[in-house]
Amino acid sequence: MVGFFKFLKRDRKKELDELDLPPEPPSTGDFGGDLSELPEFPDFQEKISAPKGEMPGFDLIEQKELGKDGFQQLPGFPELEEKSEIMPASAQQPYELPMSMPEAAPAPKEALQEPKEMPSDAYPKMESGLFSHEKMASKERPGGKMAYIRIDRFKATLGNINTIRSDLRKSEETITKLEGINSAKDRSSGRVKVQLEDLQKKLIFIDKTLFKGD
Amino acid sequence: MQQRNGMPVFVKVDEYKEILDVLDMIKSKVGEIKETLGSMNAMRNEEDAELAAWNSTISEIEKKIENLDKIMFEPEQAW
Repeated sequence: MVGFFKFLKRDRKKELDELDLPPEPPSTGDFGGDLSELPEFPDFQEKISAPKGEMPGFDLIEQKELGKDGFQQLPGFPELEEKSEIMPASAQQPYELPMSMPEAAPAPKEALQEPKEMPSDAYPKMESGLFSHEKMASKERPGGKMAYIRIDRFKATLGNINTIRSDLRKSEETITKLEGINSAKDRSSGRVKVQLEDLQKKLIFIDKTLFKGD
Repeated sequence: MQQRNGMPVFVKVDEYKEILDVLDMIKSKVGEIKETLGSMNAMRNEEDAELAAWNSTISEIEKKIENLDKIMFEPEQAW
């Protein structure tokens, strides 16, 4: 096993002289053929120099307004209040959901007025006037912000919805009964029609029989 | 959901305007149903009147048939 990992160890015996020579550089091809035949650079007679006129200096606004000590006149950063050290998650108390309306949403407090106490016997009348104050609040609330209703009204609304649902079911049953009554009426009226036609035929027969002698 | 210290608890209503629109729609539907019930009541009253008239007509026919029956089965009295 030990000999198996032998190839991973460096061969420390080799000295610098014994290292391999680097490979030759690649051939230059067409470019590197005769570098000695390139023409020499021509000698420029006139020396190129910068214009003698003085360059305009930079007018730095910060330097003008602030001066050298301008940065010292700037207000310093406000010092942050030292907060207590972050407690580990195990030591923190579990977050409790707020049971009342959160303070971060002040819009409903502004938009919705404090609803009046609902009388206990106003349950049947409430269906028509349940959302009237909410409608008024929606007119007062231009931005379409969050709307809140009181939980007792919410429960009453759910009760109303259940009542309406059962009433609608009753109405459907009534419609089914009425349809049955109507179909029975149609059947009986058709039967009466047939009987009347039969009766008319018999009357015509009697009439013919009685007045045949004339 | 409970109320603590008598403070009112509010429930957030999403899509509030849609609920109001649906309520308006339900109101209009209930109005239509009321109109339909009114027209059905009127038709039933007409039907009752027609049935009463028919009943009287049938009674008259019955009387006349009885009269005919008498005439036909008692010829000596009729002559």
